[in-house]
Amino acid sequence: MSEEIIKLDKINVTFEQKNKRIDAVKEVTLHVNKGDIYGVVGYSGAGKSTLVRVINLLQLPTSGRVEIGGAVLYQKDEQTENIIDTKTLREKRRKIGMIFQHFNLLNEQTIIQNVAFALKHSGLKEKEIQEKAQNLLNLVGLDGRENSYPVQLSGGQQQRVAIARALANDPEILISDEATSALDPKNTIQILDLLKDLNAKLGLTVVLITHEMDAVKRIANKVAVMDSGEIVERGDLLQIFTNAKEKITREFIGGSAKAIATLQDYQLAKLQQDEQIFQLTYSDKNVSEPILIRLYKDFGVEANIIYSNIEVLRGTPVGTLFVIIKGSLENQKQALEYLKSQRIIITKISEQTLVEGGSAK
Amino acid sequence: MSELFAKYLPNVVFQGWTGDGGWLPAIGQTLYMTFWSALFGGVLGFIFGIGLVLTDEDGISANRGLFSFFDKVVSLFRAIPFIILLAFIAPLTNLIVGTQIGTTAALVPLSLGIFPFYARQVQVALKSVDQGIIEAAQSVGATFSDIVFDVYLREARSELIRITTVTLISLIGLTAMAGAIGAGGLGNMAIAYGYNRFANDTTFVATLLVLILVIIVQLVGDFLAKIFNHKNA
Ligand SMILES: Nc1ncnc2c1ncn2[C@@H]1O[C@H](COP(=O)(O)OP(=O)(O)OP(=O)(O)O)[C@@H](O)[C@H]1O
Ligand SMILES: [Mg+2]
Repeated sequence: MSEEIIKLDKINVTFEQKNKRIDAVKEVTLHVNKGDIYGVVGYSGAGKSTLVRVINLLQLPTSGRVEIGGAVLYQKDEQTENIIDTKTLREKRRKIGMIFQHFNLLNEQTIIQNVAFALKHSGLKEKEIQEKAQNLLNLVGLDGRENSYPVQLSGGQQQRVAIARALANDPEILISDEATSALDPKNTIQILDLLKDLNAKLGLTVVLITHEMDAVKRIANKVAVMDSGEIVERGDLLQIFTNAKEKITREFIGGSAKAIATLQDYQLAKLQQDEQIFQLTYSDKNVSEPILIRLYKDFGVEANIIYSNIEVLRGTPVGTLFVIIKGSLENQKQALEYLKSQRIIITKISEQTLVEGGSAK
Repeated sequence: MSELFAKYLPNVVFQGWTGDGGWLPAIGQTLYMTFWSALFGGVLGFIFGIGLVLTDEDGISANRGLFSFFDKVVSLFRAIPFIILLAFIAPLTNLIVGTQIGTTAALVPLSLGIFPFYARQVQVALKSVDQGIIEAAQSVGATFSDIVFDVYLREARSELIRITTVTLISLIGLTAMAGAIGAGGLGNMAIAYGYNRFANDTTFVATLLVLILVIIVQLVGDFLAKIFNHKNA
């Protein structure tokens, strides 16, 4: 059993404005294991930032329970409200690093001062602070730039400074709120790989908020999809990618799952009596044979590809095929057995799903 | 040289350097009034300006009651025209400095006249600090004083210098009006000895001196604002 380092339970966040009420987060429960890179995706305004700002109580929830690393920071139910005291909260916050879309560095301080700022209350001596700050800058690949001001650095470099600052107090958790959204593709990849690296080397737990699915595909192992203040779907990366249930998830993750949405929109799959649609998912390692040809030759089953796609999840290529399989029931059954033996994940897609839309359950 | 002055600026020379109505005392009085009221009014304005930002709804010590106190006081004093404030505040002036007229007496209305102006400017300058930077500071466990000194004041430093320059220049303008309560200074020189006596040369020179003072303040301010700015290199 892996340890749950972040436990958000039944979190609600409501903003009261003059003439309206915004339920930014509704009854959200999110548990993150130590060592996870947990992607949270959703459209603008879905409540992603509001939800993760609850983790270090930059945003006080309206109700719910926040437990980080075994310590309850916030708890509120009908009768009682408990908020951790300010001093302890400050100490806890130092163990939860956070990076932002616009870096948010102190413009009037050099980058080493920016990192040292985070160490002000660390109890280290001035000299040790300087040393540690320098080491952190080296870690993120900025040695030699310590006396530059933020404005003198590129966006990618500024985000590295922000990462160094976030890591200053040796946190166990790093929250990344759209940290790569303002960067070009090359810097985006470098920053993501840096996060992945920190996760592997330091065992850092990362909460990765983004609307770029590519970021999630590259480094996350779990993913949650938010829509209008709720988490509508969550799970392991591979599972979500190959077997998304919600339409919004499919829109988001694109690729194979988007195929269902597309097939729905165009009602492409009109089936005959002896036809069925299957989604076949395989990782490249387990497919060495020309499977579709084998289906025809060995089992007398025709396979008509209506969609195919390949994508790379955490460095592993994963292929997806949507095929219409035609043949006698008995032959189809044998064919499926054969596919299973090739360690291909088979999901039957009902015609209903494709014609009517909605959930593919 | 001095003959040339005597010929073209007879009244200016007549005023003399020293003594009652002399140029040196007039310059001295203007500097005296500017300096002390900038200090008193500045400190007061600064406190109110910071108070307005910290206690505001999205501030780090949001407090509706305190905010509305700061806000109302500042608005009230801003609403009173300075020339009326001079008269209106006279009893208070008497209470604080023991007299209602003279250079020192002018410090009270000058300080009270400039502080709301400065407070609003400080408020705007500090509000210009990106909320995201404050949030980032909070996320690394910054304390209240870290945020006030290392974030707000330091990030807005250049902007604060710029608004201080603007305020000082306004203040120099106000000291001229304070001449109305016998505060002396270059403004008094221009009006009482120049304008009222049809001595246009005196008015001209007094104006020129005020202008030079303003330009010096502006240049020094611009220079400092520039060296303390690392935002847009
Ligand atoms: N301080 C606030 N006061 C009022 N409403 C707010 C506040 N913060 C957020 N909201 C509202 O809450 C909802 C969720 O906002 P949030 O910033 O969490 O979305 P998001 O998913 O992070 O979007 P984005 O991708 O654009 O960053 C939005 O409708 C937003 O307008
Ligand atoms: Mg956001």
